[in-house]
Amino acid sequence: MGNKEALLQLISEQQDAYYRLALTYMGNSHDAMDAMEDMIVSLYHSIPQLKKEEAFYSWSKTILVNRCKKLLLQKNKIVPMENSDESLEKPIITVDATNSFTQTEQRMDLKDMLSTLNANQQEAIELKYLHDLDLQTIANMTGVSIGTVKSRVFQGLKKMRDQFGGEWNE
Amino acid sequence: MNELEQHLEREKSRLENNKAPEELNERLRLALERTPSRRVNKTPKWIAVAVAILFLSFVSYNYNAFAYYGKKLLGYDELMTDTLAQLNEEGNGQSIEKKIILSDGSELYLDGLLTDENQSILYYTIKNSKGVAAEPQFSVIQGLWTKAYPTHGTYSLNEEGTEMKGIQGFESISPFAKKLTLEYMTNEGTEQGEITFPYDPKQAMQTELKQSIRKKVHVDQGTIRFDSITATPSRTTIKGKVKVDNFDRIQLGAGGVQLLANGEPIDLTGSSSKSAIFGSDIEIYYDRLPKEIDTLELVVDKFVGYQTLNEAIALKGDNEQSEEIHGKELIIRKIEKTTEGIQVTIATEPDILLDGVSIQSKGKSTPLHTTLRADLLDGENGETYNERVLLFNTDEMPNTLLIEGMHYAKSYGDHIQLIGKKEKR
Repeated sequence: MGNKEALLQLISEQQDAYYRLALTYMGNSHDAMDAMEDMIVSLYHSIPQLKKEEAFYSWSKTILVNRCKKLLLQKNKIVPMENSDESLEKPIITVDATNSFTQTEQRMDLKDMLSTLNANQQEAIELKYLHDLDLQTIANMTGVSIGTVKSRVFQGLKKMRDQFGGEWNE
Repeated sequence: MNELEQHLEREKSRLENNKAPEELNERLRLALERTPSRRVNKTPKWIAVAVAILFLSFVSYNYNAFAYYGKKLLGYDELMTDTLAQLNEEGNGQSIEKKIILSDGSELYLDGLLTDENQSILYYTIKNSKGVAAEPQFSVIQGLWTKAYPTHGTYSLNEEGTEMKGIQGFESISPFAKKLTLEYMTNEGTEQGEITFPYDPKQAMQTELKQSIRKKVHVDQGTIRFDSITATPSRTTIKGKVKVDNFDRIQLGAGGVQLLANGEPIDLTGSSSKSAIFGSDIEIYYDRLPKEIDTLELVVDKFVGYQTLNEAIALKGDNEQSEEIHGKELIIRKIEKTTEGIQVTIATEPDILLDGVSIQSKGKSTPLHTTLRADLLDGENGETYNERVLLFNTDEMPNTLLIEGMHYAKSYGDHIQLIGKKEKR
């Protein structure tokens, strides 16, 4: 009982960060919360295997991303963060009503740019820049080495700069 | 920062406007409640410690890793507790020296096994020149009359990330087992494997003290029965049974039960409870006992208690309000009217849970509907507060807060002498 409570406490410390991460993958609030439920149950049962306390957030977020991917597979969706389905975007956009137009514009710019990258580059860049995760965690989440993550981020940024750089350097 | 990074930065702050829905916490809580409790409470000690670090911003950790000179197993010194380091130096335990190649190409070496009646400790190393991806997940050690589940564990990784040294605790192994099979999972639990190795029960460490206690201690809402003490070189275990209605209402658990040897408390290293028929079976773990023991005693210093209050607190309105109930501080931070109802934010010290809370307005009282959230927060003088938001299903601003009682960490001081005579104090 006390341990469930302690686990809940740990999660709720970074509740919003977990939620945003799940939302990025799942695209809607309902599925994001489902993924988090899966995550917390899985954490509860496998926490004896976690031995290094500072690794908790990195480890639990890795599990969350895995749960998200599994759920997406079950739903027969394309796996990493494709944005072809506009309807999935809506809940994310309507955040700040006063400023929603400009924010949506900006968002579409960035989404356009990201969509020119391959799925792996896109995922790596989103995890690094939008979710502030360190390279080791991203490597764990995507099941590749740190070197590969670095190269995906680098190549992705380079491609975006090459394609869109001109427009920004006004 | 270049344009592209600014763009990403803006997108990040935009994303940060997404807050988790309020119902999320409740859904997570329910999901956890639905999942069966683990057979033994295996949550490693660090989780409580991590919570303590997060909220108390200080931590008292019992385990110091002193460097010891002559080592039997090399490279584990930073992981071992004083007691384990001592046992290792004395040459206890047995070597296994088995190697397994895991599916990702990592090599898992089982180095040694230290066993006694209280627990078993496996020393292992994982090597991978491409980097160790994750620690192995050990499922169980099986053998004749043996089914030892993992308990706690710890590991460290070298700077290059290519070698991991770990210590994994398991439940005890039967003295009749001649060979053992370790089952493990890799790749996030998707692949399973096992390895069998010979075991020599004669090399298990001898139990130093084992005696039954059979004493009961009465607390406010039930009894604690202490059944036995088993002291081995690696640990001291007290077993018992708790039949206390409000045992799990506060976090304390069995953490306020002290074991004193020669008048000095032995370090508490953990405790576990599992529900059983009529109550919970508990185990409380302490460090190794000293070699010479003149007196040994158990003291129920603190345990959950219940205090009937029937307090009616007049709510003064906008300002933060501090009250004293049965010598404990209760802070009413704010009272808000929301679309869901009236929200009252209160704070107390951590090991207090109020019971039978309701609010009153115009003579009509509304019972607590639910608690929206609870946070442990630091106070100005280093104390910790448990702050929670209580939701009441009404839209009338209340003028009175009613509290029937509270569960809290009560000082009992009951004493059970195990060895020697009670010292005059």
